Amino acid sequence: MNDAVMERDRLDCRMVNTAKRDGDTGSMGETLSLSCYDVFKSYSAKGGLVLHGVSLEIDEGDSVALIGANGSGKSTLLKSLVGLHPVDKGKVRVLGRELQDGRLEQDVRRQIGFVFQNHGLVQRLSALSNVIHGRLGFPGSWRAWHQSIAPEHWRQEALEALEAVGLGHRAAARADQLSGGQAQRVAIARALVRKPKLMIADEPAASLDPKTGMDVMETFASIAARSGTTLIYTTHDMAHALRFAKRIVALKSGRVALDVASANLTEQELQRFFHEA
Amino acid sequence: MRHDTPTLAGPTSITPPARFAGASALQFALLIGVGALVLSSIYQVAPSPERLVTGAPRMANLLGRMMPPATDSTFLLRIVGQLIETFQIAIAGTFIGIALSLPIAWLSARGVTPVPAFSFLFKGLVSFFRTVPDLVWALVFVATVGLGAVAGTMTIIADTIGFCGRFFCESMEDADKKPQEALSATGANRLAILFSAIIPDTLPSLINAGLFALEKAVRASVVLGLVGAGGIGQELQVAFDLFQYQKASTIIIVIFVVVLAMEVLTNALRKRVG
Repeated sequence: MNDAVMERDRLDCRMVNTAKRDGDTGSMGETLSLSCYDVFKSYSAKGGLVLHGVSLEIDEGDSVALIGANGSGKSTLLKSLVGLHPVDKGKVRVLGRELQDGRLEQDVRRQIGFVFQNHGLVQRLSALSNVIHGRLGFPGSWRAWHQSIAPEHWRQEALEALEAVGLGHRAAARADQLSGGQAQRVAIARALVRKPKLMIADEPAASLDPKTGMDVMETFASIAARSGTTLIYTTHDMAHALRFAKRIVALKSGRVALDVASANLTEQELQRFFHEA
Repeated sequence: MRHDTPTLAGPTSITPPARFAGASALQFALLIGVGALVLSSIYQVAPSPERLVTGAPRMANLLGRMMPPATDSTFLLRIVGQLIETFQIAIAGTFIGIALSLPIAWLSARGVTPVPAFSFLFKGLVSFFRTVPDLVWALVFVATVGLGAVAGTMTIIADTIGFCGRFFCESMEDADKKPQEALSATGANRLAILFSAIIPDTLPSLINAGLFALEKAVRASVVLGLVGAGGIGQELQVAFDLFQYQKASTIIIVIFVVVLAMEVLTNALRKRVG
């Protein structure tokens, strides 16, 4: 048996068996932030399955990095878990509420903060307006269309969120005048104004240079840790996975291939896993 | 000492584009058909050299009778009144037209509309408004609401919906999708996405299209009077009907100045939009 196979077997032994549990408590009695059981997902009848019976439980306050090669299904899983891509089959519970027809109810969605790879800021609006957009979906949300019509306390909270990501001084700057790293921080601030219990991020540092990416992840993870927010993010960067997540879940061909505490892994082991994937 | 003589590269695998090998029978027939259409049109309706030669002295005579332009104060005062009405037709028609174009464009824009199954209906409506010429709309509205400025305003509204409805729709379809997806993930509804992401993103092109519509409306509103739909055009028609060519020349000069001023103004405004 060669080294690579032995290594894989060693990693596989660490896999967490996510057997189905009742309600919203994990096996150790902890509260679950998110859980899914036997989730299947395909985008078309011809395209085949993207997710193939994925089961996962994520505790409240946990931080999880979803890793895997391109096409492994990690982004699809992330989006399916919060109802952005309805699942074909399986059971998903988010913050104690089950997805109905693959969709998340609005009051649950309000407790989730989203950060995307390409920040998704409205380029011609100020950083402040973009952060206030985080309030969309809340009651009276038409006042979140633009900072000039937002209630004073929303503006204040948005400024505080910008301060938290180190960009209070850029509140008036238009999004198209910000650097890539600054734009991603504004996107994080937009998620923060929702005071989320769960933060979801799809490759938040993928479009940034290594140093900026590390800074953004540092900001992101430390804010989540301070507020006790559950954090789930996808990444291709092994260093980001190991440094900012307590737990690493790896997908291979739409299946969970590895589910392990990050403290038990080295970057080399993860790299090797990737090369075999 | 022996030097290798550089040689041309040998045959390559690159295939050059084919040379023109002559038209096929179908292409040749089409070419003949199009040529015949153009030539017959020119022969039947284009001015012949003889007509140009005989028409030139008449044109000179008309221009002579137009000079000098009428400048009596009563007439000029009336022209100013008609000019204000023309502007009112253009401004009211463009404003209402733009206000109606925005929701119609939103409902018809692919990937943006909240009613994707019915978007074709709104697209069809915009096409209908656009394909009917403004003078035809003016005739229709004069027949339905009577002579005067109201018919003119309704004509400009219809014309603006046809123009702005299409441009607004295309701008919305081309708007950056990433912010829309990000806001949709937060639970924002379609209306919130329109006002928070799509309109801010497309604002320069919406303003540009709106300014073009205004410029177009000013030009259109000066001729709407020719079919009785109010404005300065009505005065021009009366001047020609009564052979008051000096008054007609004043009106033409005023129209020229106004349209030119509007073009300069909208061009300056467009440059400021960024």
